Amino acid sequence: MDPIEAQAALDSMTAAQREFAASGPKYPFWRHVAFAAVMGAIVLSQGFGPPLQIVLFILAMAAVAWLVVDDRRRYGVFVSGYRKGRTLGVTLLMVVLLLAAMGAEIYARINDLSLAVKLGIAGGAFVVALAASLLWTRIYDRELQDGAA
Amino acid sequence: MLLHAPARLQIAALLAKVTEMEFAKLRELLKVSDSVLSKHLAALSDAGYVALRKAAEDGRQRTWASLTRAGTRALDRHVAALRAIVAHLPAAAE
Repeated sequence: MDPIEAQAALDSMTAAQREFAASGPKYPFWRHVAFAAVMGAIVLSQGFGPPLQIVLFILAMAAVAWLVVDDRRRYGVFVSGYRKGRTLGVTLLMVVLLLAAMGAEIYARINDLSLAVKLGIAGGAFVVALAASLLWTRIYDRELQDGAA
Repeated sequence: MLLHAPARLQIAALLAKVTEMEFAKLRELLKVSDSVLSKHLAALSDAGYVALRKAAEDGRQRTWASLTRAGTRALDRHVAALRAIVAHLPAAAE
């Protein structure tokens, strides 16, 4: 293979990824809000004892499953948030912050803090997850546009 | 040698960016026929580069493709070799 053929192969690969970026998933704002709400619910579930904790957690997991099924059906593709690549830093930062929020909820439960405090922590988790989801998508789109293998 | 074919390289490059992609979406992106895509996917699957999964959705049988670890490694090696050739370095594509 000569350099011209090699460059053509790389270009065809990049073109395919750019085509995917152009025609691939365009997640609407509600999808980001839904993801953030699920994350907020998981965090909030830690602020209560059973059975409310279990019910909230099960509902959140069911919502995750629904989002995955909806993504597959709507876009013909599924992209895990935990994928390697440029988005991994955003994912890991979000996980760390959400784990910290869950710790705060557990602290609030153990110390019998008010419902307002628990909702406030979950609200913070919602904002973190929403920002992470929006940023993740922007970085992912840029990665596809750049055609990095 | 398997990734030398442009369509196979494109398939691997697309699957590298997702967890799973449906057959119809791949066909739409590559602008090839069902039979051509099936042949490429079968070749990649036989080599262990692509995993194929069939699932019933909305009463229809759909095929989902994903890149395996072996496929990811092969793609990385192939792209590195292509870049080396482009840079006039003494390396050969897979």
